[in-house]
Amino acid sequence: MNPLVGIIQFPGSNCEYETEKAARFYGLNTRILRWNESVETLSHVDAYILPGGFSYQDRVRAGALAAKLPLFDIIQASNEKGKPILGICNGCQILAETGLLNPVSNTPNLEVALGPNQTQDSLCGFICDWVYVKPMRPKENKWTCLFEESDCLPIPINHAEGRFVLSESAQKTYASHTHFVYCDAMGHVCPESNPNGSFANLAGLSNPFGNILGMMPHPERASFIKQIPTWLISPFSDMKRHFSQVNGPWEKLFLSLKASL
Amino acid sequence: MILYTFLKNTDLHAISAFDVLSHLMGYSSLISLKRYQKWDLGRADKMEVEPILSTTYLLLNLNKEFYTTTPPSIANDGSKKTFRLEAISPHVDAQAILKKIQNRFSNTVETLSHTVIWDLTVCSELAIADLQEDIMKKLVLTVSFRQGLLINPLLETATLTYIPS
Repeated sequence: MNPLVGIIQFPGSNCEYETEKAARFYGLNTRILRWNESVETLSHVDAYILPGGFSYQDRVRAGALAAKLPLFDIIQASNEKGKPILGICNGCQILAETGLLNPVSNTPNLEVALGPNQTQDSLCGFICDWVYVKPMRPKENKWTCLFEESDCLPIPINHAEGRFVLSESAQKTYASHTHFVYCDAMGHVCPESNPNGSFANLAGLSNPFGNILGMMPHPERASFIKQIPTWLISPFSDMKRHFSQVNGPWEKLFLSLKASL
Repeated sequence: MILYTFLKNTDLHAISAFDVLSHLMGYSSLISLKRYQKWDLGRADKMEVEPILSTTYLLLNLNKEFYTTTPPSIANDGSKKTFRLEAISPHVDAQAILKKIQNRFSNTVETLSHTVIWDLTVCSELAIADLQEDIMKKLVLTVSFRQGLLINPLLETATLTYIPS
């Protein structure tokens, strides 16, 4: 039987169906699971995806309330078994609030937070845009093992609180694990390519054991070539203009997981 | 002048936070949790502030919020104790709002600061100092998986003080 990928639906999630569509297209066996399913159902899952959205209306802070759900006792136990866990956008905010997105150690202590978007020290509100990211040390994470460091991938961002803030110890350790950084269309990492003031241009982070990945951009929205706008400066846009029959840039995310399970 | 602003309708943030703290996190001695905002407008007086409140949404929206110039009164009795948590929110850029006020109202307000206040009332026989430490550790500072909710220390700074009746 195919390993099962559980896509967790919180009250206020809104990306679970498109995440499932992308994952299934690339051959994963998925099931959308509500946050309050039985312990048995939630435990018998081989990988977890926490999708984007606005869990609990972002009350108190984005992801803060969802992070206290009993579900995370199960996810924490699954993390200890090395099961792959991916948080996308609000899912990444939730992982940060639980302490599971921790580049320092495998203890659930808060080392990473997602602050409000900023440009030049002033708040800049919600950002909805296409950006480019590149993976660093991709071979060390179960979700990115098929990526190359030379990849420069277009991807949409949709968030108001996506600025990575790292504790002092996390600032020292994050670079030795898999992470994604915002770059320009040519793959250069520079301050101008940082859309939200994120620490070190960070768009996504891994834990030291390579089974957890949290990322603010939405890979499920760039998994099919039809989702890529033709105006982007990217080989994928060129291929779309020439009606090439290819898959989207984030195909590798789902294929990496398939290869890891 | 200091303004305290409150939602006219139910504060869903406070209700959800209370539910999580008292039920999911098991802090059953918490009996009330209220949230409101504090705007410190420095030396500006009511005559100067009134036009800002009635003609703009910069400090509050009078359709949804009301304000007072004194903090809410506290009625502690016996084992009921109230603590006031005052936090600088990363979501409000008070200096940007101050610039907008000064551009529009010809420098009537010289300084502006904003904080979010949570009033936590607990029923406990613990001494004030012990209780304060307990609340800070268990309810306020989010430092790990099952500890704290109201403040993320990587993003916010906060002070907790006991409010006598």
